[in-house]
Amino acid sequence: MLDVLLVGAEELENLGTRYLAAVLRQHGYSVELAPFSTANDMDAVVRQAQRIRPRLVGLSIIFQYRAPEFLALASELRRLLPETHITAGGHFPTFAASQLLRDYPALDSVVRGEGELTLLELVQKLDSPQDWPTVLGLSFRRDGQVVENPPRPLIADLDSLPFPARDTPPQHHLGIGFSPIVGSRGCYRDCAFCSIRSFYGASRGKVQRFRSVPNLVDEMEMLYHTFGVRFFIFNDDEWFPAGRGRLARVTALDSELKRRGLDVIMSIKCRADDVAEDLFRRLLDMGVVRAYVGVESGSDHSLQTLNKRTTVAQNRRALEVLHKVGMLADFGLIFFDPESTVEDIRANLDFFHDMAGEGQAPLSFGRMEVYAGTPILDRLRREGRLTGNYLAWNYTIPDPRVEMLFRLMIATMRHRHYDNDGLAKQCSIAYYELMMYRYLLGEQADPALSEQLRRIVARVNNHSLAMLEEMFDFTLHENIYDANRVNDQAAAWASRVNLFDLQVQAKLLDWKAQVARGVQMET
Amino acid sequence: MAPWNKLPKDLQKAILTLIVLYGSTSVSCRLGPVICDPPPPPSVTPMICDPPPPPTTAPKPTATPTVTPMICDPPPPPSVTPMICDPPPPPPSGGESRPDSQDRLPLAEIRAVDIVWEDGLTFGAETPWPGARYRWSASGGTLSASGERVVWQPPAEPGRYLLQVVADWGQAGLAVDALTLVVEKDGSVTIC
Repeated sequence: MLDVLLVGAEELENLGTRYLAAVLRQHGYSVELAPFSTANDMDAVVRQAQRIRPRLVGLSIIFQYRAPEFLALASELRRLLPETHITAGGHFPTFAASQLLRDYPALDSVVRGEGELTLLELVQKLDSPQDWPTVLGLSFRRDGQVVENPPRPLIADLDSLPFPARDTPPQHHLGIGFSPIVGSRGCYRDCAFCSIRSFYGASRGKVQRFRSVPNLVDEMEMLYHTFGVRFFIFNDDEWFPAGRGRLARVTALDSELKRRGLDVIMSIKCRADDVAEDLFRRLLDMGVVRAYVGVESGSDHSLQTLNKRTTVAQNRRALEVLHKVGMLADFGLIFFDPESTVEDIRANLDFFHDMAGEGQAPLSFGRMEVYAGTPILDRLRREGRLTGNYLAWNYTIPDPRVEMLFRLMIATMRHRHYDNDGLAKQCSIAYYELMMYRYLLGEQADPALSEQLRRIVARVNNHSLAMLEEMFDFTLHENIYDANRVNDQAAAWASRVNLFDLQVQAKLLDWKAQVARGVQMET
Repeated sequence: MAPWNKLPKDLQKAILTLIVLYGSTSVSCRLGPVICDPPPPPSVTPMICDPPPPPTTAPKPTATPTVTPMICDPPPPPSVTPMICDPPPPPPSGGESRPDSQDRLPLAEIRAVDIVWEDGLTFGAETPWPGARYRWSASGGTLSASGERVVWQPPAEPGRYLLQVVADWGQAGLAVDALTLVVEKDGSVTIC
């Protein structure tokens, strides 16, 4: 019998379950990981659980929209393994612990907040439930009532954690290993749509914490030499510390990478107000080839709704700096939020035209969703604007024209922009391929391939923008309450999108083949 | 080619696995519409979600003499805003609702439809919502459609063709799905 089975999405390596596994193994417990990336993985997870009959199953629920699948899995595991303790952790269970334990008897407990030490203590005390009230950060059921223990203080020293258990070798593409990694936890801001601040803020301790640079580079060096990883994808909540700490951290990381002779490329995530030209030139020099900038909106009104504490001018400046220094400036817009107006939509369209119209990055946009633990959830609840339930809250946008545009966008552009094999996602992947190609070939890289990709992405972006403009115009000037008219128009737009994508997909495939040939010739 | 329900279970499973691993759109809905409910709208929460990762390598497709669910593209990458399978019905408690002042707007619900390969060149439209009116179209070849089922007659000209279905529920919603069908020089067809 194994001690623990940890279940989570495995798109890239799931660092959440890997940190948990590393800590448990450090204390002598046996652990297996089970990938549960879609509902279709359920049978495999159940079979694995039946084979190893773990004492505890931990469900790592990162994204709220997948909670129902995890809860269905919990029910099935409960039925087949009645003696096994089933617990859940992650952002959503942390905020919905009492409701989940009330509504889903398959769950025995919820690990709230940072999970490593709470899960360890739960496993240590698994056979003595009388001791569970002493496990900080744990919620559990006793005599039919939900007991919520006080929160556990945050882990002050992230270096005290072992490296995540890399049970599966990192993925490779074009001969390059790539791997996710984190150098910090938490964020120094408090955006209305984001649960990171609340997730860590419920516990005592500093919300944003950093691994020391030597500790971080130790892990990078291990991955570099052991697994051939050359591309590090930083998944920090926010890569930079606030204020002057930014330069100090970058300088230290730069020196450490150089000292150890690690020639790598990196992708980071940051806020628009982190971006400064000198800093990002230096980052580019040390291998940061992509920055995902959380600009979120091209409208100052929306930025206020989102409590982003930045301005459109800052957003524009940040992306322009990245374009100027030659780093891929990726970003997404929360195109719709609970207060979106016609003016906000116009501003977002203008922002997209200016910042992505030349194919600088693939378009990424959507509606602000209401997640557990976010300030916007509290606000909309106070205002009586929520529909649905705690598994999937919903709302409508007050201006019917804007609400209609959102509905049209989903009906017509869903495949292109939200499916895994949609053209927008393929464009995004192509940019990753370009970064790898450039890394591999260095000065031998053919600049024509970069230009070709930029043109393809520009075509896709401008087509999406043209469609959005048409739909926007429709909502402003046509009878949006005429279902026949709306549906006929939506079907026609969807057809145009799909036919366009058919043509451009072929060009993208050609481009990928050229990249593969270029790499093959070089190597 | 044998009808789907005459295929051995193991073969059915292997094909479904292929579709799951490498299939195009809305894989989980293809496999069992009963488990899929109205999908959530997409969201952009970039600072919490991860960026799309680099691509992974996929096995090269091989030429196929008949229509099989072979794949031309690499397997799909992870998604930060997955739209594939969706929340089940609400739990028994904890709900809130209020009258929606915009109930009269069309496209009232976000719905989904999926084209599924049935047999030979026959395709079906699958959706958990009853009462749809289906409109099929193709960018080449000819179609003979009857409601939720269509038979595609490929053109002689090799190339990439689009098969599309629009499912229309009137006021309640509308959903669209499309497949790419590749006609090879030898006349064989591959579904992407």
